[in-house]
Amino acid sequence: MAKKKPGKGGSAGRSERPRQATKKRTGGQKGAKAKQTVPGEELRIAITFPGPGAQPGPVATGARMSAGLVRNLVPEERSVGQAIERLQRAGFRITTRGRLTASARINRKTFEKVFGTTLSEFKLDESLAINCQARSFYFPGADAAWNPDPELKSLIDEAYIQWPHIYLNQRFPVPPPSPIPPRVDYHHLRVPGDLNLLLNVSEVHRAGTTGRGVTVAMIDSGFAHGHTYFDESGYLTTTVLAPGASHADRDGNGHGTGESANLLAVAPDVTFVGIKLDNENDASLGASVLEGLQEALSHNPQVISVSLGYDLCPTDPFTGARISNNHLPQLPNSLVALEAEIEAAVDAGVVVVFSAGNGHVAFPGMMPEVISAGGVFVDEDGSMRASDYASAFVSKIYPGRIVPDLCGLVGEAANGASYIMLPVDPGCELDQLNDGTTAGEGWGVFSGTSAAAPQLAGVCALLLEKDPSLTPGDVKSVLRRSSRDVVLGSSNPASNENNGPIPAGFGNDGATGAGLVDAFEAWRQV
Amino acid sequence: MSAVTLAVVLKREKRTPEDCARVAEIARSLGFETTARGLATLSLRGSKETFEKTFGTSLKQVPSLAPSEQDAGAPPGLVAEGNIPVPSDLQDYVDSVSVVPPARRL
Repeated sequence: MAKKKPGKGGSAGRSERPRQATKKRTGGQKGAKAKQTVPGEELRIAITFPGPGAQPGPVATGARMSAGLVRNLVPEERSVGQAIERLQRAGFRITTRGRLTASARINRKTFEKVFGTTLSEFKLDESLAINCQARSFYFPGADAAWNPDPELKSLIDEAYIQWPHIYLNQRFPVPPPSPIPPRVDYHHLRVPGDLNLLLNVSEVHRAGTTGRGVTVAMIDSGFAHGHTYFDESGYLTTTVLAPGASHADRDGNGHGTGESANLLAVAPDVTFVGIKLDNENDASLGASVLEGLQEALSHNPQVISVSLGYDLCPTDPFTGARISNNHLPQLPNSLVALEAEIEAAVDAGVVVVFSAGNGHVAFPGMMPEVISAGGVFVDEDGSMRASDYASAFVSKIYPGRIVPDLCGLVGEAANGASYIMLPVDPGCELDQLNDGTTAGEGWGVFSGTSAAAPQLAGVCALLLEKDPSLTPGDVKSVLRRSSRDVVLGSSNPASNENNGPIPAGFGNDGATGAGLVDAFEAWRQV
Repeated sequence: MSAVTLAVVLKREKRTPEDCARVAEIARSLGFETTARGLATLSLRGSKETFEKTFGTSLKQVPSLAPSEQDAGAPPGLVAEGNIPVPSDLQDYVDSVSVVPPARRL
């Protein structure tokens, strides 16, 4: 009878970590059973039998199995019956039988007695992060004795302890991220609490308005809503792949996942449809914003939120760097279709929110039909000022159009707008930022007008829950007239051609538009 | 083989399901598949080679942009080097055809 130890390249290593009995979730799936960290006392055994006429069985033959060979190795029923009877007497519990094999269970101590051996505990090498049925198991050590019961030895071919099997659908799982964000040592906001406080959303929620029944589509890189933060928050979301996109459960960039947390913080009960644009296998195959918008419209949303855009200044397409700060006086032909589709969507009654840009002269954020989301920074002491990271400008393409309409919460340029702690797909691009969090833990601190757009879109959903008859124009008017005036600070100078930063001031101003959104006041006015 | 995504703006009076289907049919005959339809537009995809042969305009590959101080980057894509003429078969239905450049994540 053979005894084997885990070999090189096998599924088990020889990690000498201290034995621990604590159970932890390692499967990366909500509700996954905790993996065993102490080997079970009951062993799973695979048994083979001698061939007909007492010839060697499959293991003792030593030959590579083939269909023809296996046909010749089918044991005689009588000898199998004898073997099973002897196994049962020895303490084996037969669980199933095949034509050539039987499976059995036996207590470790009994196994050691029957085979005259001593079993050792083998632990999987945790660093391999293999998603295995058990983290350790018993096996005869390399120097262990092997003196099987002679009668049993004559009746069976081999008996092997079965190694714990690897779950091949998740061979190298990443430990799930924590639903609780890590700590960083600078002023920042957390979702959902800080956003709800500063945007005056909590009062609206207390009044029972949470976005229920309102469909909001968000178009972005992707939505890794398997992140435990979304699970624990109880959000119900759907991700749809736009043409060419792949992997609905992943977000290699992290942008959409994080920014969607802004929207869901404000309107937790919306019917959220995430339109994923990115292809995780081949980035060049991902969807265009237009394809995303077309896909979004097919879901009949009342609100569409888009934190993407184009910088309408002469730009080097290969580096993304500005060639000059002169605003383009005319919309490039390549964007006319997007403009037409947005116009048609708003005309059909859909509220469309776009980011105003982070120093970008952002299109479609400059379109008169959209709600253009700018940025206000709220400091630790509660004081508000225009974010110097967010764009503010007068459009050359749409005469008289002042960007933004109003603002959400956005960080400042001095720390790259690291302002809101947001969940992201662990290991994605935005998880690697130098923001005080650890790469791979599934959290990042970022903002930009990308955060402001979904915040405003969330407030739009709250208003539409209260009064579904509101038109896009109504929604924008209510948001603007109910905003809190912001009188300090100035905008990102990069967006204002060559004229420097635009200061905030009393009343509507060029830097913040109507100011910081006030969800409760807007809701009250509907 | 690189794929190119085209944006087609339908004439106002041609924004009907029947006309959309006709445009899709013509586009297919030119080697482009319709990937999505909106209220005013269609998106088409085809190979770079088919595009350059059909429109006589070359395409340039632009690389992806990594997250920076200003934004969260952009995916790679193809951009056209000049204006794109509307093929004669489509002129009754379509105002313009363009190649959609990759957008920035703000």
